[in-house]
Amino acid sequence: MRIAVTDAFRPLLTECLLAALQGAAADIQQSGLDPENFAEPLERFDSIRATLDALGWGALPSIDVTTHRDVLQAALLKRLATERECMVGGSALRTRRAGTYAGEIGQFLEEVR
Amino acid sequence: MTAPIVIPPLLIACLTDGSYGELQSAAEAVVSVAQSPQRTPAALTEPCKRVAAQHALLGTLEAGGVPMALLPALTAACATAEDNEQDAYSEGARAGKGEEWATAQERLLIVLEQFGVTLASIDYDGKMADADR
Repeated sequence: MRIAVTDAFRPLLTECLLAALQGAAADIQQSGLDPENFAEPLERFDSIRATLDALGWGALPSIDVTTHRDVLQAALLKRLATERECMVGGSALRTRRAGTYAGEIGQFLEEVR
Repeated sequence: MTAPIVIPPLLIACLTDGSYGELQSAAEAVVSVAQSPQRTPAALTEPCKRVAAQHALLGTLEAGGVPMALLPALTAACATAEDNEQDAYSEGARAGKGEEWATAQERLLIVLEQFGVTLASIDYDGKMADADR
């Protein structure tokens, strides 16, 4: 099932996925010398990269959620948690912006489910 | 269909180590680009492809045969393996560990002679340099 990704939301979604990709790459980098440590972050990295490919790295207006649901949910939930933290105790501008981002992410997550 | 590149059994372990080293280097490049203002898809494509290629290479090395399509990844892993063996060779010689020194030397020579010389003349797109055709 494909769902639309609005022009307004696409940059934020791409940012969430890039942050997830960066996290997986950092985990690969820190996997040490034991080959077993590489398997999970490598699989995660490949899945996120595939999702970014499917989104045209932010250039395409829709995505297949049947295939990419897990990656989308993980990346969005992580960013949502960050934005919720920023909604408490930050500057008025940061709090307002975090509220906007959290709302947009929450709305998209509803569609992804 | 082109035959796979056959890897001598003695080299599988050191090329696997080289591939993990190259994988970590590629991952470091992804992190570096992702943290920079230039975190564009175009800038991330190259290190991401390097990660994917090493991932694919690791899956084939153990079997002892690497498809020609993975030649650039094998070249990169080979270069890291060569560095590793140089280090082991120097360390073994310094520490007076005859056996480790001899093994490292043997691997290094094979890397250099069988792979280093051949693969070093092949560019990242997997094309032979004109002089070596």
